[in-house]
Amino acid sequence: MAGIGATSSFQKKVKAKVVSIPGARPSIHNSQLLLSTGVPSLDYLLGGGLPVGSILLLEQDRHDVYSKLFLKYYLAEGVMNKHMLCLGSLDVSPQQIMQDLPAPTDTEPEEEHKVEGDKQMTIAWRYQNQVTQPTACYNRFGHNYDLTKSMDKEKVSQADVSLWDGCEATEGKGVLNNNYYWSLLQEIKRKIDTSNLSTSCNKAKTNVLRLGLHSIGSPLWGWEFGRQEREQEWHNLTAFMTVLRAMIRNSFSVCLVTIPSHIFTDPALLSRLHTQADFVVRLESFQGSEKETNPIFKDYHGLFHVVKLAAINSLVPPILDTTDWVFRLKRRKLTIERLHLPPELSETVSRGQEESLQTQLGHQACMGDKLPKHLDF
Amino acid sequence: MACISNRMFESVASAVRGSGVDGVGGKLTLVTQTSTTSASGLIINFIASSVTADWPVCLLTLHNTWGHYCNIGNKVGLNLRNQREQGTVKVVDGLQLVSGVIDAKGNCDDNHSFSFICKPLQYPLKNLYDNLKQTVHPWRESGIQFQIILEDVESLLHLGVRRKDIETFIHYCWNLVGKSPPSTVGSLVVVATIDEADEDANLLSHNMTHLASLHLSLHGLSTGPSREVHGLLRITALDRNCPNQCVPLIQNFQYKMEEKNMKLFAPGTSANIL
Repeated sequence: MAGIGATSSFQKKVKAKVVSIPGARPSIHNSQLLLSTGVPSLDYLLGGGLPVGSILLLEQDRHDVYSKLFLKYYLAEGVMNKHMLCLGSLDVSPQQIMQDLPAPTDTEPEEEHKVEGDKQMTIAWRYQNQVTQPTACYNRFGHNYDLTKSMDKEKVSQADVSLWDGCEATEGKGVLNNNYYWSLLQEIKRKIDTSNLSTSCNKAKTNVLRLGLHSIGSPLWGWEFGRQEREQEWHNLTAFMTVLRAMIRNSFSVCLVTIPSHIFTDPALLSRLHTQADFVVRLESFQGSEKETNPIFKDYHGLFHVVKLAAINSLVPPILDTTDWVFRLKRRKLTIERLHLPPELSETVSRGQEESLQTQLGHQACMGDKLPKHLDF
Repeated sequence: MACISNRMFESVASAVRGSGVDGVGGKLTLVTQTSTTSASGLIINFIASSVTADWPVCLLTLHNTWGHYCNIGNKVGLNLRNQREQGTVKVVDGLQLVSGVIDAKGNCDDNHSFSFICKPLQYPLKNLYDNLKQTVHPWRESGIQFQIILEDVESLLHLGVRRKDIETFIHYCWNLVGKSPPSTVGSLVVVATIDEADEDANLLSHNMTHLASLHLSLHGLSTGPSREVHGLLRITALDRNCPNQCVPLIQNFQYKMEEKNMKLFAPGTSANIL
């Protein structure tokens, strides 16, 4: 083993390069530069933030309500830090998404009454030392946003934004014969090259590119509706993700991709997309599902599944202390929290849940409220 | 056998020693990972063991960048950048090549290793093979032992290459290291990603399993990630040249990745339980 990594302890003192990119901070685990996603609680789950050169894959909720909010937070954070932005979307006009970014606020919206840290717990004492999860930024990494207000148009117009809506798509080539995927990759490549963001370029980097790709792989992206999956001809999408990964990894950029995974019928496609992304999270909204009325979830709007956390530049990925996460949309902000069951205050066990279950069953069986509870036949 | 031992992941080295089969002498070693587990640690382990034995290594990266392995190497005490400068480690950085295949105007170089992305070719991986062959050519000429590591061959499936072409590519690479004993000049390590849902990827890794003398398989836990146990490592060893071995030797471990080490232990003996 002698000789491996054996460097002399006498080294010339060289002034360390300080990379100053607005809105970025180095990770304490792997010295990777991290960027905020705009949602502090999501940053916490990703191990402090989104590392430069990584892809976050967000599987949309069924109606694309909450996933769009995550995308807007991500873009708003980019505008606030004067990052370069590139937004690609076919389902929704990218102009429309940019017009409706949440406005930044100095104060924490809907600040709740905080329990003092040194207060002794008398009943649930075992939770005394539990680490609290940040829901708002207090350390100047990331900003707070207010969902009820839109960001100042002047501020948005000052940002370096490229919007791609597929209007000027050129004909695809080779594996990427889909016009949209080919054109989008070209656009991204052009942006990286013109801004000198590639790692092979020796110029000092003072900014990063934030890519936001909305609803990739939806039927509008396919060159023939439904054909992609039926004949396993979704190589366009997997090839797109692979080339995108290569571009992002070799440049100062981060990417948030949202996909409508509920319409993918072939599980192989999804697993390949998971492989190419660094972080994968899935939103499961309660809208229209039985969980919407379940008293266990009454405080929340959906489940937040953490599918994959990659170890970048290290052997150990970020490790979470629980697997049960939920998201909640308050009036002004969206947060991700640990799933806590509500306290059981009734004397009989699970009374509330049983009642709701009976009501649901009653509705299904009798199709109305006025029918007698116990049927005679 | 001696080449496998190294001081970094002693646990992995001793587990492989316990299997009785080494991955050297023209043998094929298969490492499989899943979408939620990473074989980066094992790859670093293979690089380190080769370099320790004064064997040069050629690494084809298709999923992670060269910088990723350099950073991990630094943590475990292996300066890969120095090794590259000295010529003991040569790298074909697939990700960098893929990112350069398309220029801003959409043009594509015909001789590029990944030119099949831009235009359909009869033998899509020929250029990539030529690149690898050229890289290891000096070592083959001088007859020294060397190792080729193909990282995540499934990425080629993602790029639309047919399974048949990938298998041919791997066979060609195996021939580069000399799979038959008289012409043996090295060994081949193939890293693949398996997924039950992906038929093509599964078939590819199954075919490789059939050829491999040593198969190290990483799996995540079905119940999700845990603080003390990150997954399962199964080592399957079958020496086809040994006349007395009829069935493969299988060893199961649980593992935990640490900043500078990969900790192996028998299932059910994690720090959580003991």
